[in-house]
Amino acid sequence: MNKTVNINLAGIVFHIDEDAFEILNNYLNTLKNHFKNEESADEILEDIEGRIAELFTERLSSKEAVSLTDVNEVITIMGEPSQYDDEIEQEKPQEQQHKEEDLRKGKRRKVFRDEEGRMIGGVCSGMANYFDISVFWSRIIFFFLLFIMGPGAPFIYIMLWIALPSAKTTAEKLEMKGEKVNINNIEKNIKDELNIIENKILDADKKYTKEIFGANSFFRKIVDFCIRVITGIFKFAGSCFGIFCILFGGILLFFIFSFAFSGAEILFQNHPMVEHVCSNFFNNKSATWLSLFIGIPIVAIILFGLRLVNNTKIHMNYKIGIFVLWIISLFFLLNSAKDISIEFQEEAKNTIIENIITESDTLYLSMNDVDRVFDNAFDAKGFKVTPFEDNLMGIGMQLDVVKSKNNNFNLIKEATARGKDKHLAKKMTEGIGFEFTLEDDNLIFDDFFTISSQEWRMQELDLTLELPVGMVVFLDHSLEDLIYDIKNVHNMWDYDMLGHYWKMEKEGLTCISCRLK
Amino acid sequence: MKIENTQSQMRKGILEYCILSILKNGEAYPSDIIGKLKKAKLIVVEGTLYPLLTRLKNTKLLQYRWEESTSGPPRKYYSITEKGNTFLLELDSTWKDLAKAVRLTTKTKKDE
Repeated sequence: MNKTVNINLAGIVFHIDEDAFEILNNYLNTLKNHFKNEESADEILEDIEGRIAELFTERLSSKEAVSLTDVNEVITIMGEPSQYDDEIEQEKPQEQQHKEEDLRKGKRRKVFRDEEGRMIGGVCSGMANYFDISVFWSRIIFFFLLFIMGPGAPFIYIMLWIALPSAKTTAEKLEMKGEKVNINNIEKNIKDELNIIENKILDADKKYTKEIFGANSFFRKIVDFCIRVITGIFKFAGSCFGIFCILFGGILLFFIFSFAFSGAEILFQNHPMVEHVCSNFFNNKSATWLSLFIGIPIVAIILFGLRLVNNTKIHMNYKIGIFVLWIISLFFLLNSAKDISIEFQEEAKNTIIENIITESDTLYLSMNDVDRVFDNAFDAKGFKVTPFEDNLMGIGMQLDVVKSKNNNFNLIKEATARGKDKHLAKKMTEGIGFEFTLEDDNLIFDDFFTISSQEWRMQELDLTLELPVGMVVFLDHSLEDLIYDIKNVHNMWDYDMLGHYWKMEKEGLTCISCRLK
Repeated sequence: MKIENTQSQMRKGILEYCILSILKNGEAYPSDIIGKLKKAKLIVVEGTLYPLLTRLKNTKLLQYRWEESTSGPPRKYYSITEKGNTFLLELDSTWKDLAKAVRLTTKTKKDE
């Protein structure tokens, strides 16, 4: 018993044994391959199929199905291509032979549109095949052209779409890719082509049932074209976004890598404060973890972009591996952050009281105000700290004026700083220094405080001037940035207090030069 | 130099000449032509003929018409064109020259 297959040869239906069908199918494929360079290969094949159909019909007068014997007999009659090779091979003109030789060596290529690898019209992938580059790069180049030339690039694309033929036959496809013509390639291509033909036949069947919407009708072509353009636009938008992801991620990644290999110097080279926070934090190891922590999501963005542009897929194991690495980097970063926070966990205060001795009953307060550039400062709680000479300096201290508990002018300097423990914090506060000069009755403050330490531990300084009852201070305009929330009997704003004489009464500071309503 | 190459070179031109000559006497369909060529032992396998016919048709030396067949698919009946006739006349004279040349040269060899 044999299973049979139905085939259509030149319009006649035959029942054919399955094994016989395999042989016949192979035979026809070999013929197709043999005639692939022939101008009217399809016609020759049709003629041969017609003849085979005729021979089958002769043999089927007394039975129903074509058997293996029949097929073998028919093939013997028609002959293997090798048997008429000699009669055809020589027919090719000299030029053609050279061409084929080049082709076989993968030398000569022709520009075709590659419909199989197309996004819109297959122009980019055709170009990629011609120049033997990845289609990814040809699309990147097109994308750049789009930027440089604006609307010119799509115009060129459409021109090429119209002008370039698409690679249809096996030979053309091989010519397009310049692949070596060998059995494997041809077999691969023939299989592809057979699929295409099969689809064509299916389409043709539909044509009879749907005359208007048939495969080749004008209407259908228009619809096909529109669908192709729309999907093309979507694909194009997708790949534009993908390219954007790749470029964006690539640039970021470049910086991250410079960061990782230069131990934070490149990223923070304009910020000299970093080394004062924790000299051993931004060492190479931490920088590597930080780079991984930031870099891995960027790589993910790039991969996502690649997937949009080129449909590059990453194996699940790699994804998991990368994710685990990211978690590890997060862990180490948190650890480093913990190390840093420990450095700041305790706070200490240090108060120094200085007596200001003056004969006068009026003290003229002013500040030696220099416009300092504090671009590279760390800013915390209103205090800015920046490197200064060998150590650090800060600004942002505030001056208050209160009633003295005794009969002296006192300047109270209250320094605050942090450290790993109380003792270290206290040590930090002792490094904070503040200078002023006293010339007769002129008290001139510096506009900064010094930190005699390499380490920044949120050093702060607050100033309070104690004024005995009955004494007067004059607040110069240069104190604008220094005074803060000085209580007075008039409830006047700090800024309004400048340029006036203030006398300490029992009730509090009273203006003696203001015109009060 | 391969003997097969030389043989096929010789056969190739003759085959086209013979096909045109067969069709000179009236139209025929491939099986008729094959029958005659096989009898003359010019071809062994039928597959050889189809590309030749198509090529001759493409160069406008032959034309064909379809005819329904009672036993099988429709057949292509080939006939010679005017251009084909002119072509054939030229081949006739060439063949005569060649035959003469071959006769003469082979004869001399035998005599020696």
